[in-house]
Amino acid sequence: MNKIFQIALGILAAIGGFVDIGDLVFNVEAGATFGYQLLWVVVVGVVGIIVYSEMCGRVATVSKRPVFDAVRERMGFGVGAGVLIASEFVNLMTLAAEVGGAALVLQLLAGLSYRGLIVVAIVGLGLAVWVLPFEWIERVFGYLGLCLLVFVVGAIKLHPDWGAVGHGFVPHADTDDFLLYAYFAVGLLGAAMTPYEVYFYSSGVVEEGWTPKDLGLNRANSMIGYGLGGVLSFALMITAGALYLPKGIEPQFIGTVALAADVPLGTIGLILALIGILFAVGGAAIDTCLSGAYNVSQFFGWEWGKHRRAAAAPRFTLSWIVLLVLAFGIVMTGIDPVMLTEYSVIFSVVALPLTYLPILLVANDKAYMGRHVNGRIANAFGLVYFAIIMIVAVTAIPLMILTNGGTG
Amino acid sequence: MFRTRNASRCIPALAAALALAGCGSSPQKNIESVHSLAAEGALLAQQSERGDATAIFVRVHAGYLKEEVDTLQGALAAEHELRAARVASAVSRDLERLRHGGAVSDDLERLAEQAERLAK
Repeated sequence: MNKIFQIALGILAAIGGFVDIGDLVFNVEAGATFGYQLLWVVVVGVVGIIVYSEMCGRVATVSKRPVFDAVRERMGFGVGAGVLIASEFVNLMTLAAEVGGAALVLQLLAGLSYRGLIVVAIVGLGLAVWVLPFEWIERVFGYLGLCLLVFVVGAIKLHPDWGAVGHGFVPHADTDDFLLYAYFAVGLLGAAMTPYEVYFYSSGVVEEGWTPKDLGLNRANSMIGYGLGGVLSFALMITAGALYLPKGIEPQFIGTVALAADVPLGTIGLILALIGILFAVGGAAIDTCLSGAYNVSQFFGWEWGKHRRAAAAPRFTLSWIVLLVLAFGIVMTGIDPVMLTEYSVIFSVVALPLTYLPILLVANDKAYMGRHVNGRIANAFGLVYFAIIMIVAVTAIPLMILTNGGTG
Repeated sequence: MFRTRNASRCIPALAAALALAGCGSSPQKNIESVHSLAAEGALLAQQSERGDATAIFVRVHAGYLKEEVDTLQGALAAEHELRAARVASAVSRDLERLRHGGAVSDDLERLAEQAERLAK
């Protein structure tokens, strides 16, 4: 019973923690622009993150080392340093976008000055990381992120054309603007498979002391948690497709996302949406911040871990504090968090091969993995997805330029 | 050596292209954006008039919509799209009234339709 309870809790946290600001922005924009035509891309992205997070979790559980540690050892210092620089750059952009997003939501709830609320967001996130144990960070932000389920209810209440919704799960492009369609497809994949998720997941596995007996739990968390988390992405796209596309509304603000829950459900829908967005984005900010600190510490061989007291892992602690301070500086320049989100997602797409190739190689290495090495199915999926990742990585920046940043 | 020099020349050009991605907008695109903002403002105003949104949310979100409309109004005026600039100016006035609890949904819907006709 305890095991089932543990799995349920983990799954709930994964659902609530699945959506971050990149998913919010790209799913709503995709729905408002192309209706339900890109739902199939979300499925592809969700399966991709399941495949690689399961691999990551298995690597970390069996080798007792997080993925970045294995990357440095397996790929060498030079390549490892390149992966580190790329991932830290993307982490910092993503963290700044999440912090800015959280401050905007606080402003929509409280009405106070945006810049003042950036300080509140940074201090709040810093305190949460400092005070809360690892498991409680996941639970608090994951469970409160479940308020985003309001978009599932809202999508149903908007009475979309369910036939058209079903057709959206079949790959097709009924549009004259194929470049813009491709840009959104790349963005949706990038938002679903952001690198910080797998680095954070693998470090968390080591933090929680998983053993090979927990591999079943790893698989359940990955498949059910991320799978159901993908339902939130569907709901965002369906809501935007049903509400915004017919009216010609192009979402540009976080408030536009919340309005999509307000229209079908009234004030309670609005409040739940804002709380859900706040905790989903806040949770993602913490994940990104810790992921950055994990990567640096693991690469340089420093003591690391949330389960350690600050004095026992001083450079790890300093790393996440520095990342928060840098993110604060970026957001205080006044840069639009929504625009920053789009850039961070697209740049993270470019970095995807650097993240996922080492994982695939290590998961195939019998010296590391023993009898838990990738089987044929895992390898088949891993290779197919690596090919997809290479295609999107090469096309991401050209598409961003050719579509004028997704504005057409 | 040749490849390195080429790469060195490419990087600043790529950086400039990335920085400019999302910056440029045609008059057509600007008018479409005015239509989008007016339509969203109308939706927000309807929720406000029904009592289905918090006053804080309406004030803050209408404020962001207005800021964007004001930017577009300036751009359209500079592009000599005077009819579109006048529509944008009217949308901006309505959004300011909405921020203070005004009932402007019908007017914003009408302005959204006007902007849509101008965009076509």
